[in-house]
Amino acid sequence: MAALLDIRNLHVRIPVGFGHVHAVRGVNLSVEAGQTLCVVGESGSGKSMSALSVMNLLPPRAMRDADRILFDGVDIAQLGPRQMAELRGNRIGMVFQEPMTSLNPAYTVGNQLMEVHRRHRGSSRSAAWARAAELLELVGISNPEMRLRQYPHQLSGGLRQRVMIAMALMCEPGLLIADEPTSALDVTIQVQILRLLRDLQRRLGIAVVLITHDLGVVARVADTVAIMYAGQVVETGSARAVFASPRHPYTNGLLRSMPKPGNGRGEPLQAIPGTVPSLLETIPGCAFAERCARADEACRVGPIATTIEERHSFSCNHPADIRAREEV
Amino acid sequence: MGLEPPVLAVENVFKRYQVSRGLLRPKRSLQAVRGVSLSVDKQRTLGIVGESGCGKSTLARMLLNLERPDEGDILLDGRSAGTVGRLDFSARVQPVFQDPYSTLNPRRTILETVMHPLRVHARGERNARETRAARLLDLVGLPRRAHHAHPNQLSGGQRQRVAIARALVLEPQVLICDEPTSALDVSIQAQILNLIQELQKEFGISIVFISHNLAVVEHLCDEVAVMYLGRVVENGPTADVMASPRHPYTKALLDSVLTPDVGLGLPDLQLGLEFPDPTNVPPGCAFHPRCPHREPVCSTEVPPACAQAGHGSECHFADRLAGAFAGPAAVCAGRG
Repeated sequence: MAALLDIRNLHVRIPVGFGHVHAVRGVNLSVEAGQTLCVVGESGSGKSMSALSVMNLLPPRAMRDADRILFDGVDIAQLGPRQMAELRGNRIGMVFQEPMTSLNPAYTVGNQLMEVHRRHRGSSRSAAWARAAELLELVGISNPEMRLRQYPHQLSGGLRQRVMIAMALMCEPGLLIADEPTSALDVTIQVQILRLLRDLQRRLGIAVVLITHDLGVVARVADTVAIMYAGQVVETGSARAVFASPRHPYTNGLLRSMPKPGNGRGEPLQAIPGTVPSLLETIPGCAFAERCARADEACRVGPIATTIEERHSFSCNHPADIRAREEV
Repeated sequence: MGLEPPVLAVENVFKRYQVSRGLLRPKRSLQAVRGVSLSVDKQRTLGIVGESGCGKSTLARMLLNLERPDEGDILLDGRSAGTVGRLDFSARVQPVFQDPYSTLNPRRTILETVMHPLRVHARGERNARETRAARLLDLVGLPRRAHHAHPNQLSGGQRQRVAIARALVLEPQVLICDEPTSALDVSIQAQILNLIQELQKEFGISIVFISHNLAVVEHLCDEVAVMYLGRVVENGPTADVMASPRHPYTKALLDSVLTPDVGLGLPDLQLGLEFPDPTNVPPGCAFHPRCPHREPVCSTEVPPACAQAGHGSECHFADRLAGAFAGPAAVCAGRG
């Protein structure tokens, strides 16, 4: 099956002072209809920039460059601002991390939900209102008519995020991009929102790109995974393959540094030493080499070998053996 | 433990705030903390777990003597915090807050930041202060070349190291950590958690560790108290509470810990859509509107409070539920 979204060789450069930050360095991502792709990485890994590239919502002076960004067969890298505006919120929905900052505090929930539908579908006020109420019910908000008349500040964080999801789904998009949709929420609410997203995805058959730093979330919802580090995808594949046998030392390091329930007290966590490199300078070899126990001189200079298996690929000169995780 | 009084204790503490609802409408009372008793012994770590609005940060502020309780008292070494004196109290109880970006003065260098408490408390000469601050920065693993840097030149993890060095420079008895790692990346979080553990051994301090992440608390804490809407709903030794929860809210929190196990899917917490609102605490058991195991009595009668010692739960049906939660079918998926 052809991918619904297919990004090839994406670069994003953000000018700062005399140079630029090379935030995304040749990223390939793709997701099929009805599937969930999780993009994992820490702050500065370029995961949000990759997502914003699809929407063409990058910061003002950022430069985007890609071989292609195919959405449903159309290369959206070639589209003008007006054509992009037609896609955004209509065929591609987006949910951001902070529901409080992405909702307008001066308008009621109803107003903001209706705007999407009226703009893209040219529907009447009453039709848009009915659709908004329907969507709030779909995302599990009781008493939708009352909620539509409320302002964002009158809602709890969990409710606001539900409203954001409802807004993203108003026009039945084929693709939903969710950038850390649950990171600002409480843990029990996080589980409820993730379940909601999964149920909606199954019911509506949409593709989801979920951006997160939480490998626990990834393991539970992803069909495919892309692990990003310093602007590159270092390991990608089906969630089953990647979690069963992570091959890149960074993926292994992330998994090991998570405290595991049931292990009790004591043992220090296996932290990854050091910090993320600066993307102001060019990194010749592997960006993770400075923090990697397996790295040698060749890793720092490059080039780095990319191994492509059937459902799994990774860029590393010294990948972990298959099923290394069980030995840990 | 034994005859020594706990280093820091909270006794039946209440705290209310008045919340404005607009110019003409009457103010509403927000019950942030409603009768909490807790204690932390020497060199031990107490975890406080709960979600936003449960009162854990208010409790932290009271533990730091930044805020006086409306009722009840905070005891430091058995003495009421009100009688200890602010300067003395702050030398013995120090905070590490969540956001390392807003807690460091951007105009001070790192070394100055860590020296500052020594100056406020008039400890030693300038040279001695500088030596001591430098030693602390070494201990938290900050390179020497960063000593004269400003906070904006450091990463989040490094800033949190500075905050920890500043908290420890006065050699306090207790460290109050309010979500110290939740603003950090996963790989850095582990570094900071390890550092806190090492320093606890080195300095022999007690720690109150406030978090919403049960996996982190389990990793770090001897005892744990689970808070919901201003009450401690379950407390006890961490291992007991994690292995056999006795309150449905604790059970839901435990189930919400998503381990990286593919194929387990997402747990069904059955909590409904109600949201806890501290300005409108439900009658009876405050958790009953969300509780999947509620009975009529839960909405009318307040369950008996947790016992101070051992493993307690503020639930009418703690014994019955403990059995159900411990059963093989209910064992939290992906544990062990």
